[in-house]
Amino acid sequence: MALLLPLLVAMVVCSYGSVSSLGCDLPHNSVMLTRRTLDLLDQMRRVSPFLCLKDRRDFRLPRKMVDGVQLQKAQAMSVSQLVLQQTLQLFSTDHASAAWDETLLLQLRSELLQHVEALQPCLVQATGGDSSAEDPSLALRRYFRRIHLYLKEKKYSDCAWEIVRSEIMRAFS
Amino acid sequence: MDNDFALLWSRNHESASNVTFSAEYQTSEMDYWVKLPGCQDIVDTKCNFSSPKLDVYEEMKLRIRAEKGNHTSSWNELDSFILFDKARVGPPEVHVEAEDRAAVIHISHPGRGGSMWALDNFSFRYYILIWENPSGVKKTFSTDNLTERIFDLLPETTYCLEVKAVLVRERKHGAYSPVVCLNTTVENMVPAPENVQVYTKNSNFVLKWTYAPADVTFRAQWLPAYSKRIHRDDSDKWKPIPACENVRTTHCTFPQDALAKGNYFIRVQASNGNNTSFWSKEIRMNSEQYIPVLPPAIVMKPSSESLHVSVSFHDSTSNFHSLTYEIIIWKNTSNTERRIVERSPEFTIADLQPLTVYCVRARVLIETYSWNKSSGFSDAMCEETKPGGSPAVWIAGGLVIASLVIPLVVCALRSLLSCLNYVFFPSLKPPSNIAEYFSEPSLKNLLLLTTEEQTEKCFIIENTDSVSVKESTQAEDEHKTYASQTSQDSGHYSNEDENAGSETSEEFVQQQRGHHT
Repeated sequence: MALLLPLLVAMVVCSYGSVSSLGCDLPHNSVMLTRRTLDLLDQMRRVSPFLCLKDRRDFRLPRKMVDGVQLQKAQAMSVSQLVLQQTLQLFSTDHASAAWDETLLLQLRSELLQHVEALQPCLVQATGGDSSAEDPSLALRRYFRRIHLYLKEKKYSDCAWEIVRSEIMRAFS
Repeated sequence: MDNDFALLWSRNHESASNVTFSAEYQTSEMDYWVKLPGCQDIVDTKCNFSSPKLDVYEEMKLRIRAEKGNHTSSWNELDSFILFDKARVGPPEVHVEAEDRAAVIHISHPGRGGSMWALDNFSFRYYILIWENPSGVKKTFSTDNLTERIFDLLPETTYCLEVKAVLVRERKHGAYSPVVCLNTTVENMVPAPENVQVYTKNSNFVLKWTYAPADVTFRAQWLPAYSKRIHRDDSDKWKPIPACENVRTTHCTFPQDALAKGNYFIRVQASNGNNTSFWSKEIRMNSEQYIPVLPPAIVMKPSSESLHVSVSFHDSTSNFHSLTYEIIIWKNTSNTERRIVERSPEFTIADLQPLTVYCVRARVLIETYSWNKSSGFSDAMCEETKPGGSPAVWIAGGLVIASLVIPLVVCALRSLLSCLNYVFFPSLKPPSNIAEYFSEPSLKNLLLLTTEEQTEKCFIIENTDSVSVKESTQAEDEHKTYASQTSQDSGHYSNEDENAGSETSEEFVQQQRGHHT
């Protein structure tokens, strides 16, 4: 038994070594934002969420597209790229520039862009030409569209942005 | 294309004139049909509609019917589809600016103002095809930026270009824009700086470049990298670097914390008082790549022939970076070092000698798609491996275990044997008390269960054969049923005496009998 553990460790280490240094293959297979992104989003908070209770909205995150169980690893990276890209889009608008701290926003956009570019080679066309409700990329686009429409409806108020900020953090951490 | 779609149909050739067509649509979120704007009361067999208010990612159904006066045909429904999938990428809008040796290209992404590509500001890649008019070689440049500069052109020359957009993830290639031509200007009196580079010194960034003519001042600007992907005209987004304003040297130094951690473009311009040069080629740098990384901490757990090592590294680097750990291990008493590279922060170094002091240092290498950096080596951590597996200890342990285990094994074997004996070699003696109780020989004989006939002999004078046959079968039946009651085996009783078999098995069998009777 004492010999078995180092053997297992060696096997795991060997399998890591065989993957290219920055392949599209990571230990986790759920869709998530980078640690630094979540860090920055956390720091960006301006308004207490308790003041915005009446603005709460269910954006109907397609949970099973984001959960680890449903996705294969290759898909998880591709879908993560989409989430990073859409988050970057959300926070790159002029409305976002007006709502958030300039320095934090600059760092957030930089961080997101870096990974949007880095994960570009990992893009997997999910279901070829057959687009159905099961395509995670379409389901996530619908989700982000709902967020954009919500912000427009609420005229980009501080509370609306706070709801969106905490929604993104909650959904992809 | 982009936001505009055309619906085509064919008319029934029997229909007369004065027939118009109207269409309706329904998305999966609605449960009613809505008139499709642009496709009401159409005389032709084609109508155009666009997508501004529609959800381009939802499944949609269309239906169309013919109308004449008050009469309408039935609805003809199309298979459902998703607008986003059906859409084709249109040409981007392109504007150019000419410099002496470069062309500045401003690109607007396709379908601007429409809802089709509203969420795709960062999803396009642009391919620029440029050639020297009229018949130069066509060169292709690809870029993700909306503002792009193409350098190394000749002054006072006409160049033409066209641009197409590609939706990368969906692999949709768009149409080329109309060709746009430009004339590069005469060569500027003040040339632009060249070979711009950035490196770190202490906790500063040093920006340097090459420049031949003398008596000029320089200034430098920075721009966050994402800006080029959002704004088609970045000219008003560049910000000056204060420490590099009006410098006379071909380098300038500014503190690292002047720029927040991120991706930037930097460019330099020369001025001789009256005239300024065009901007130099932009270099891209990631300030994170220069921020020093602290060495990691090591925790070690020794065993007799190996060391389990845990490396902990605290940094808010992204989980999409690749981390590698480089370890150096040496015996305290010698100088020979062994270098190991690991990808996991927890690992074991094997093949070590027991009761030896080993020392370990570690450093972290961070790799991203464009740069890498490493920390310094941590301080040495030393641990002594445990005593080895000496034979004496093993023998003592083995004896103790053996003295506990062997009796158990013996017992188990014995009970197994007796069980087997019972099954295969049953004793035929009933328990002694029962034997005493039953004094009658006939019953006693029944219990003894031999293969010999034990029925009473009845003699009937006539038909002896049939009777005897009957009796024998009856006895056999009895014998058989009796057999099934007492044991699993059928018909395999040996003719052994009760003295056969070991004593223990006999007792065992008698006890069994006791149960059954």
